Parts: sequence; structure tokens; C-alpha cells
Amino acid sequence: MSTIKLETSDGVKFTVKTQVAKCSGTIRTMLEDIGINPQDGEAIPLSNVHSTILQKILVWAEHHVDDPEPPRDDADAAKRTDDICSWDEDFLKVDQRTLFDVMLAANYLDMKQLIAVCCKTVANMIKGKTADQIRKTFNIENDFPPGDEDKIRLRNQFCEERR
Amino acid sequence: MVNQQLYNGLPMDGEETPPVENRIWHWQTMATVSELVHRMTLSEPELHLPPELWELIFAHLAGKRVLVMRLVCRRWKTIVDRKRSLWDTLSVCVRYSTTNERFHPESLPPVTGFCVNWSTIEDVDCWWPSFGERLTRIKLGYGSVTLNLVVGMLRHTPNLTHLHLSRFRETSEEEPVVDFQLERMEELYLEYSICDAFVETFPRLRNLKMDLNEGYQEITARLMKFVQGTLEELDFKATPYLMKEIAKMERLKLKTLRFKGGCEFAVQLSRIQPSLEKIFLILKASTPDFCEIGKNLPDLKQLSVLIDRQGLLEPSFLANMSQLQKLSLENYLFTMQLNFGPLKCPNLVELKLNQFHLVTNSLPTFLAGSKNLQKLSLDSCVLESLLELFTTLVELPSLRHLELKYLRMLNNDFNISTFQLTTNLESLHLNDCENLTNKMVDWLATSSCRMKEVRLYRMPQVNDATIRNMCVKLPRLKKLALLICSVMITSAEYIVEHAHSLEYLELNGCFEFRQAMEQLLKGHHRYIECKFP
Repeated sequence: MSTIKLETSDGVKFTVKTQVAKCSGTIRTMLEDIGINPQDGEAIPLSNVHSTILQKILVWAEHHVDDPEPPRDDADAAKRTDDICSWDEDFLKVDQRTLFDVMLAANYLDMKQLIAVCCKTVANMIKGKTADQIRKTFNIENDFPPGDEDKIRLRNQFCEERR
Repeated sequence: MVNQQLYNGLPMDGEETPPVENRIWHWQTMATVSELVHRMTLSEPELHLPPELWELIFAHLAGKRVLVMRLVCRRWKTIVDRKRSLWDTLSVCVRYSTTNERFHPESLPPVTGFCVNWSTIEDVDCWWPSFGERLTRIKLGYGSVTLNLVVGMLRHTPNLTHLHLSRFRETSEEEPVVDFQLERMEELYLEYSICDAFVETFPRLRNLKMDLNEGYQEITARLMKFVQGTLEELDFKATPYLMKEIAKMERLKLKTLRFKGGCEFAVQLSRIQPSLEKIFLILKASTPDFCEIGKNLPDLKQLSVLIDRQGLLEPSFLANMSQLQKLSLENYLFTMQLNFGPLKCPNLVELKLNQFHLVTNSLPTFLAGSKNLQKLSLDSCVLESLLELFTTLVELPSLRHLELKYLRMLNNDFNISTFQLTTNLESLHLNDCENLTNKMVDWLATSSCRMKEVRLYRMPQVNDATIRNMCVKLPRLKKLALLICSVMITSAEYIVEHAHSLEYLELNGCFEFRQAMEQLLKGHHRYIECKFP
């Protein structure tokens, strides 16, 4: 079975099955389009990814390597957040920093399915919360000048949802 | 380093002041080391994601949630406000007002809809062009405005797709000049009046709904003639004059027809518009008329008819409608006997019956071959016994939604304990079905582990035990509505503790009940949208 080497930002080298590494669009492009030859033994440098995060991502990729392509153009299905499989749910039961780091790395590595499931997880953290609760959840500072929040709230009251 | 990159990645709206998010840069240059250490130890700093990832996250949170998100911080507000698709379903609505009094529109949320009811539009100011530019839908109902002002407003709405003008009195001394066209307009709804000036303003209309009196039929005919090449859906009152004009429109190929009027017009339209796929009729038609309509329309997929007759209906016309996917037969004034006989509708997806007395075994026999049926709705119907419903449900693994309102059964000796019911239902709505005992409701509600929504209205036989059983047996239950049921406050506690997927709860209760619920949710760190109508 063919393998390739990946080197993370902190200099750790991983030997990975090529098929698993190809879950990443970025690595797939490097191998297929740019023609980097994995037989050379050279590690592909992933300068934006730390080894602890790559390790986690490889566990995910290993588990999902045989997943079928998701159906395209299904807007309603794409908007759902209640369809996270239980394996992914457990996989993403991590602290917020790790979750965000996984997302950033998945974004850099162009792993659409992993990004999607992370986005759903974060969306579920926002759902049903007030602005104040959201700020607490994500440690966001309320940086509106005094009075502005009330003004926005007042304008928001003009808004209604169409059915 | 990553963080710095992210900060630079966010282009700002013209209206927005620059973000204060260069916080790290700010700290490094401006803050003293001790300040910095103090801030860092005070709490975990905010973790950043680039705006494109927040956009992907927010895409899951459309609707009114975006209004909360734009209150969080300036960065979020910018991301939310410039993402058009998040605003697809939101409108600014004005009621009982004039646009002058309450409007400080320079900072209205960037919605795509504008809706005015029971109001007077006296003036739209310089704010309108930038607000109107984003709009896709405008709805003006019950109010007054000058026609010149409407024209002036529409001039600045190049993205408009839907325009509704219902009972809006356009006062005008002189006929305005419309020297522009709105190319994206798809749907026009006019109630009460129509202005001659608009006949050639919307060149690509697909959907035209008109509720006008006969005085406007000439303008109506000219408007229809102008858009005949694109028009697919028509809702109108037929008159002999309009029928004559429609017959002359060679490029008109309608797909959907909504129609009030004499049956002869419906039959006539089915002859000249064979492309029709959906028809909604309010008329007193006879079975032979429907037989001809079925013969004339080989592609008919949806038929919705208000019949309002007495006696017996044997819908033999269904034999001519083999492609039918949605069927709705309704009565309001009378209860009719309905006998499907040996008829079948193999492609049926939805069936709705209102005010029929179904002849023994007619329903299960009719639906036995409908392998794609997903939604069944019986309103004010009479069935022989619950056994018929049971036989129907058992034969329909495709069924996802069941709605029973005012269902009566002639014979109530069906013993549910001898029959195990398993369905794939996702929603169940029961309204005032007095023949269904508490046990039967439980039996229906817990027949499917896919159940997401249960609505029980006017079901006083439903008690705490039923609710508890549902909470335990329905792991995916998201919406629960219990109105006029015998539910005590102890159930609320049970619901909060055991219905883990619940997102929405509708209960009618007293003030104490509401307070207790709020306490409970707080105590359990749960958020459930609660309504107490």
C-alpha cells in the first residue's frame, strides 16, 4: 500500500496512507496536479498545521476514507445541523480551541466534509442563544459603542420572517 | 501569525467603521506588558476564525437567528450583514404607521423584503435607493400611497422578483409614466385595482395572480398578452371576455391554474392549455366535467378541488389522471359520501380529504397501491372504524406525515392491544379527535422512532402518562405542541429532562406554568423555544 510523508509546522513527520492523505484537497492537488512524487521519500510540508491537530485530522480521515461523495446542490440538506453522525459528534467533543484549530487546519487542507461537520457543530453552539450567551460561549467582547446595541436591537424589531 | 492573516482578510462595508479587531497588534504596540499579562490571565482570549468560515457556520442559522448574531459584536455584524443569502427570508415590516413617523431608515437591517400593512406611505427619502436595491419582494396591503410614489419606488428596485399590491389605494391625479422595466420580476399579485401604466413593466412574469373586478378585464387581458411567453402560473376570475382573449394567445403555455368560476371555463381552459400540470379549482363541477379535464391534461400532477355538493362522490375521473401526485378534495358546507371503488392513484404523494364520509373499506383499498404516499390529511372525515386507519397505515411504509382533524369513527370496538403498529411517521397532528382514546393517541404517536413533530390540539383525553411515554420513546422529537390537553406542570419537568432533542414546545398554561418552565430551562441549561398561546 502506497504511503506518503507529511511534515507539520513543529517538525513532526507522519507517514500516511496515500488514500487517506487524499481526503485533503490540498494534498490531492499537490500529488496529482503539481506532480510531487511520493516515492522520493521527501515529506510534504504543512506549515500551517501543528502535529497534535494533524494527528486528530488523520484519525477523522482514516474513519471517513471510504465515505461516498455527498450529493450536490441539496440546499436544504446542507443547512441542517441535526445530521451529524454519532462518531463525528464524539470526535468533536473537544475544547473550543481544538475545535477551531481543527477547522482552520481543515480549511487549509481543503477537507470539505470535515469543515461542514465542524460548522454544524459550531452552529449548534449558537442556536437558541441570546447575543449575551453567544458572547460568553465564544469569549467575544461586546465592542459596540455604548447605545449602539440598543439601536440595532430597535431596528431588528422591524424584521419579520416570511413563511 | 495566523491570526494576523485572518484580521486582514475581512473587507468592510462602506458604512462600517474599521474594526477594532487588530487587537493583537494594538496590544503589542500600545499596551504595557503588565496590562497584557493581566488581560490574558483574566480570561481566555476570543478565538478567531476567518470570515469565510463564520459565513459557512452562519449559513446553518438563517431566519430570525441572524438578528441575534448581528448583535454579538461588530465583526459578526459585518459578516452577517454582507452575506445576502442569510437575509433571503427576512422582511422589514411596517404596520399602522406612516413611513415618515417611525422611520430612521439609514440603519435598517439589510433585508430582502419590504412589507407595509395598514399604513400610509407619504414619502420615501434618499434612503430608499440603497435599501430598494437589495429588495426582492415588496408587499403593500391595505393602505394608501400615490401611484407616482409607487413608480418612484419601483424605479430603484432592479432585483425585485415579487410584488404584491392588495387593496392598496393608489391615489393619483394623473397617470404616471413608467419608463423602465423590471426584468427580474417573476410574481405579480394584484387585488382591487390595476394601473394601466404597469402593463408593460414586468416583461418576464411567470406567476400572475389577480383578484380584480370586471372593470379591469381589458387591462388584465393586455397584461397577460404581454407576458404570455413566460407566464406559467395564473390565478384569476374567468369571464367570457378573458376566455376569448386567452384563446388568442398562441404563446401561452400555462402549468398551474388557480381558478374561481364556472365549470365550463375550467373545461374550456383544459382544452386550450394542455400543458397544465396543477389545477386548483373552486367550483361546483360534475364528474363528467372532471373526466374531460383529465382526458385533456395528460401531465396533470396536482388537483385540488372544492366541491360543496351533497350526496355521493365516486371520483371516476381519477382513472383519467394516472400521473396525479397530489390530490385534495374538499367540502365546506356539506358532508359527502365518498367511494373510491376500485380506483387507484399509483403515483400519489399527498392526499387531503375534507368533510367526507368514507364508505367502508374505501380508503385502505384506494391507498393500498400508493407506494409513494408521504402525506395523508383527513379533516372532518368519518371512518367506519379505527381498523381502517390501522390497515391503511400498515400498508404505507412511505408515509411520513399524518394529520387527523375532527376524525369520527362510527364503530369504536377496535382493540389496539392486539395490534402492534409500526410506521415511519415523522410528524403527527391530531386535532379534536374525540373517538381516539388516550391509549390510541399513544399507540399512534409512538409507532415510529423517526417522529420529529407531534401536535395535539383539543385532545383533553391526552394526559401526563401519554406525554411521558412519548418523551421516552421518541428520541428525535423536536417539536411538541399540546393545546387544550390535560397536561400538568409535572409533565413540563419530565419533558425538559427526557426529551433531549426538543427545540420547540407549545403549551397553554397559566402564568405560574410559564414561570415554572423558565426556571426549569435555566436549571437544566436547556434552550427550548416555548410558546404559550
